Amino acid sequence: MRSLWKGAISFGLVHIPVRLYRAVEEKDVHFHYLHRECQTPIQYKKWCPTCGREVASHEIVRGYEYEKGRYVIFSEEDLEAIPVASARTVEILDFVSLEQIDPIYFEKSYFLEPAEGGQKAYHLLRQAMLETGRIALVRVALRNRESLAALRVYKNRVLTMVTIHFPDEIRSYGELKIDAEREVPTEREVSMARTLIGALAGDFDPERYHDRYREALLGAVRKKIEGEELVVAPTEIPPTRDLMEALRSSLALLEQGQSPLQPPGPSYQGPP
Amino acid sequence: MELTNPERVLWPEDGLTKADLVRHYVDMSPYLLPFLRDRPLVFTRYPEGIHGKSFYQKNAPVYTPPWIRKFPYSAPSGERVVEFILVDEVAALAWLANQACIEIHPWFSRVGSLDYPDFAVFDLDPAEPAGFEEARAVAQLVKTVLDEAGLEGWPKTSGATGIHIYVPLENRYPYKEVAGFVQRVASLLCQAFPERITLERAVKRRGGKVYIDYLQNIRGKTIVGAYVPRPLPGAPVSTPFTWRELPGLQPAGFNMKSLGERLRQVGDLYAGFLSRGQSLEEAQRRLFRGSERP
Repeated sequence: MRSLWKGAISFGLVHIPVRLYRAVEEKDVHFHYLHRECQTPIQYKKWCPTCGREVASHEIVRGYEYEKGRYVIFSEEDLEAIPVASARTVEILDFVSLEQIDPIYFEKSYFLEPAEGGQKAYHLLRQAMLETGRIALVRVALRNRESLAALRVYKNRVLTMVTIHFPDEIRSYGELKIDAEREVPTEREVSMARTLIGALAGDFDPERYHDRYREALLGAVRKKIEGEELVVAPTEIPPTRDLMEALRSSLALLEQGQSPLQPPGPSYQGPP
Repeated sequence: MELTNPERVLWPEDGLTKADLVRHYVDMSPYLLPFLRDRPLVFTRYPEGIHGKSFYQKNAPVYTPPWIRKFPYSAPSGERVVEFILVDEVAALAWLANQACIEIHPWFSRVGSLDYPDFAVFDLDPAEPAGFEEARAVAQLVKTVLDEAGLEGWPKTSGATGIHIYVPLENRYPYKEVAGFVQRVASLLCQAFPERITLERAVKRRGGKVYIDYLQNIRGKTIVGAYVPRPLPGAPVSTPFTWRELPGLQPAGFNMKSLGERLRQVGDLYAGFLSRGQSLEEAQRRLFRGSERP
């Protein structure tokens, strides 16, 4: 596993050096796009439809579309002028209870590993959080962007951070037709539904669930690799010295206008 | 059966018409039919002549007459069913020619034993600026390796600048094994003569060498049949030749106009070819002695 960066958890006057790792690995099956005829991966070219030509990267600028078809241009300097959080710190703001954060806010998870000199404070923080049952709300800079995140202990062992969406990123459900007030179920219906839930109630055991689409797709890939549609690269077998000799002299013969040494199959009935 | 538009010119440079194509296929039927029988076919049609739009066709068209045999096939990967045309009589050949079907590409295996090809093919395809001269030398090299392996190879011109060398096999080797054998031989030759031979899939990286297309030996791939004309000026025909002819061979000399005379002189050089199935085990032992078979 490669760490994304090395920084520190900052907690009052305490600094805990840590390394940050991605906690989740997407396992989507990835296809390449190839040219059917020669099976070469295709390339995408950057094309300007107005000038009718390919454009090089130094000719490309960023534009913000403020209304359809109208842009304001942002240069590198313009972007640098915007204050960003570049400090590699995980700054603890508050200690809250995890239940207060609705899962809709959760974005991406990261593991934190104690770096040199951070061991003792890391475990102190970990233990204190476990005992109080509180998690830390933190501010962190990821890819030059400031994010809100929840810092907590995962499996009683490792400090884990999950980034949290800002409230204005969560869409309103106001335009969905829910009609909770008009559709009031009877007590009998609710009781039946409760029985059904009770019958299916269980503990969350993620091991029981698999990505069935991915498994089917990978199964198909395996079949194709094993089947006739592909031939695997063979271990390269070099020609023996005798064979090399025979090959060279056959080429020399051809240059003198002579056919290979042996006649074709015995059924051959052509001219001499 | 009625011919439609028999005067339609298909090869304008040579003044050859659809009637000439039908005549070619009818005349060649004694040599073609034994080879095509029971094999799924792929064909190319040139209704507007060799410079016009063409179609690569696997599926029997809906208007295929009922007396033409068809073979429904669905690939192991579960793709849609293809209804192949099977040709086992001269009338079917004439019908195809009347569809402006210039090329017929038969499968390597027959409907009764689809998984087991009746031959392996070394498809030598020179990449420009390489041409027939370069293919000729590589054919000589393939022949030398086949001699070493104790295998018979039956060469024919591709009709363009290439050479196809057929190695008849007992039909008990799955495609994968046959392709693997051709690949190992090709790789051996490529190591010996990297300046002449390439196994590069990407056309632009073949750089003036002769490409040995071992991947032709997999299920569903086809190669133009013997005595089949090509949609090129001069109306060249993919023509069997003998190894003795190789040094002086001029492939352009084998065309729709001259083929009849050649057959009168040398007969059908591919006659009996299919009954000469050979075994691969001994050949592999001789060639790859002492090395692990993957």
